[in-house]
Amino acid sequence: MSDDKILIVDDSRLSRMMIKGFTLAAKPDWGVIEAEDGNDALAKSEGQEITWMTVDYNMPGMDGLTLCIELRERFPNARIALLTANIQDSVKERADKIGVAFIQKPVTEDKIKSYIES
Amino acid sequence: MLELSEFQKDALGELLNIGMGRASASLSEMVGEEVELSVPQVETLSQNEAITRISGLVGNDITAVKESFKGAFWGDALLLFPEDHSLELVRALIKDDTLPAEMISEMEQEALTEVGNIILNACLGSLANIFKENLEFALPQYTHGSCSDILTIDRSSATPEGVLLLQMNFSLEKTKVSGYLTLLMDVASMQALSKQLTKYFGGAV
Repeated sequence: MSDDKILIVDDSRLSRMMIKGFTLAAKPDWGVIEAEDGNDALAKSEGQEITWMTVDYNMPGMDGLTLCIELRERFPNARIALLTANIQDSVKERADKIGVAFIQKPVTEDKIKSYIES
Repeated sequence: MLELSEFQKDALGELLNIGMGRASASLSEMVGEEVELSVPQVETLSQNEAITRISGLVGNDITAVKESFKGAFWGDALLLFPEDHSLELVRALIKDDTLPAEMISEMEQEALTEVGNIILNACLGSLANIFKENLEFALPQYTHGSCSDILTIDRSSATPEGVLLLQMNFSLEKTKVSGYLTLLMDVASMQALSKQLTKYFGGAV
């Protein structure tokens, strides 16, 4: 069993399902935690060892970048990616500033694979 | 009613074309087939005329994904689906033939919402990038109902003079899905957008 665990935060169940499916296709032994918004993510990641994260931007409650800042404090060594349909340069720049990768939706197998194998 | 010059309309049509080009690339990536786009339409109309125009195209009973946006200019972006082929769309998206039919049908609404979200964000996001501005998006809302209920701009700043209607349609031959992207803005937003156009194109507009 691998020690790697991925946290998938997205309010769309379809997106979570696709990210999870593509992740497990490439890394069948990874653990997966799904959360539907920022608060859910903070609650479910408490006390966990998480190495990878994908975070949506537009969600009910806190936005994805605010969540990324909190998750970064809690998991300083985790690889975090903002995975969003919001393609604005201003959002990409903010992600870049806090050391978070940017992946543009739609979710595809290639994008997930190249992220988790990077 | 505020009128945009022919050149401004043309410029907006071209920008919408770029936005929809980006959006259709995303859609094509999702469903794995080519997306056909129409020529963009840019009109200033009264709200009622806009409703009549759109229901003439898509019928009165429609499914829509609506996302409000605000920032340098503001309004409602809608993706209207005139015919209910959403099950085909969900199948094309998930690419998993083993999923049970009831699960696919259960995912219909959220699949359409997510598709709407990706298309509307790609289109408006590229406009924001072109203008070097930031737009904030509300969460996408799935609605089904009459054209007039869905298209009414219900914000306190709405003015009765008119709306700017930007519209473009897309279709997928294999999946048999077609839809209309519609942006509705009130007069004040139209003026703000026209300032952005002047800033971007300089004296040419």
